[in-house]
Amino acid sequence: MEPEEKLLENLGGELRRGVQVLCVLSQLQNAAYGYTLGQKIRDQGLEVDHNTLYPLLRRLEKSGLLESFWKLEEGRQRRYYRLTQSGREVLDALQGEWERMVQAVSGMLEKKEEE
Amino acid sequence: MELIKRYAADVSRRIWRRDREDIRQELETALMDEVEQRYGPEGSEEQVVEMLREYGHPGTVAGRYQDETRYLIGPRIFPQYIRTLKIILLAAGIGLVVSQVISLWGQGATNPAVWAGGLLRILYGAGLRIFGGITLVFCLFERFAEPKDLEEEEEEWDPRTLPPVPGGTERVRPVGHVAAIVFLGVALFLLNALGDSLGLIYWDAEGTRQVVGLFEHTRLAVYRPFLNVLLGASILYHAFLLAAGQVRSWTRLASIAISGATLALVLLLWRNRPFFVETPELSAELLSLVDAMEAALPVVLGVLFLGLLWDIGREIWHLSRIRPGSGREK
Repeated sequence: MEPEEKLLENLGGELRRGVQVLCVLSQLQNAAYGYTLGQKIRDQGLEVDHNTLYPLLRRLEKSGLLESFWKLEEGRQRRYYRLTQSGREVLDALQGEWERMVQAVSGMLEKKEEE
Repeated sequence: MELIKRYAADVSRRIWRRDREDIRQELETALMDEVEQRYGPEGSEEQVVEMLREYGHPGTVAGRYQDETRYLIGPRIFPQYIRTLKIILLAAGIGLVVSQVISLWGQGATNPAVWAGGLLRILYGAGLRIFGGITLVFCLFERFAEPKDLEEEEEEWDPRTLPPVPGGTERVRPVGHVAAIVFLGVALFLLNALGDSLGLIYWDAEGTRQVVGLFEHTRLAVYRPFLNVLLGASILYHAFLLAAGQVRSWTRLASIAISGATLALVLLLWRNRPFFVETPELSAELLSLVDAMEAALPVVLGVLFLGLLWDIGREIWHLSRIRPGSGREK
């Protein structure tokens, strides 16, 4: 891989990781397990790596934003996650923050186009 | 799917023990779902290898589960650190104990307290120094290893080289341990309640009762606390094994410690021979019997000595086969 491509991949990855928390929280109003959650986010157009998604789910659970439980399905134990009350409050706050950021960044990018 | 199990086990053994089993199970299920989704019910080995390579080196994945991003010794080299520590501590521990036993033997030390104190002092001091030294070397490696070297290692990583899934074949068979607890409990009771009266009871041709005490009372008093500690520790060891239901590395270490202490006690008994109290009123017939038993004593102690050495050797062999971090054997 060329150095520019690698740099672009790294920067793109950083950008995606930045919004991953918001995406994950927004998709866990109802309980879901890691694999289907990843698929759900991908289906909506955002690339998410499973090897970062599972550790993220663990961290959010440890922070009290998610709760989890095991469920036996198709002969496999699956760990389901869902939002806690505190998770809902954080999601609302992050959503407001996100909307402000989108507006600000869009404004900056539009100005760049005009220049 | 065997490769996936090995991969999940390898990631989880690099993670802090509290979350290990949960993470292993979640990762295994997720990867199996992924294989099914991509390749159908059973992916080929090549397909699974490719998917695992995409997922990443187990050390890198384990690192993402850590809350802290800075470690003294990170998940990538943690298994090697634990393995090195175990091997060196064990080898040095055995060497030091043997040299200290030879030294005490040479000095003619007979007091069990001197033996116990000497062994503990040397093990504690050397153990701390070795632990500190190895930890320092690995910390320096963690701090100064070139990230480029680690990236190269990740690119060359092949999931087919993953260690096997811990077997869990060393299940505890309760009957033997229950029997051992009962036997040791009886021994503990006899030693403390009847220790002074234990001995050989003999009726001669005229029907007179004669007793040869098994221990000399004053010398038994010296050994009693050590025998009590050993018997108590052995009972606790068997009780823990029963409760845990599985032999783990710490139970093997405990077994080595107990056998080692018993070995030292056997050597002391060999040297001091505090057995069989001969009194002037004993008949010639009984005295010859006592002489025969005294002659047989080195054989009995020798068999015990070899049995303990065998036990220690067997446990060390099992420990050498334990996969770092898992606590279970290869």
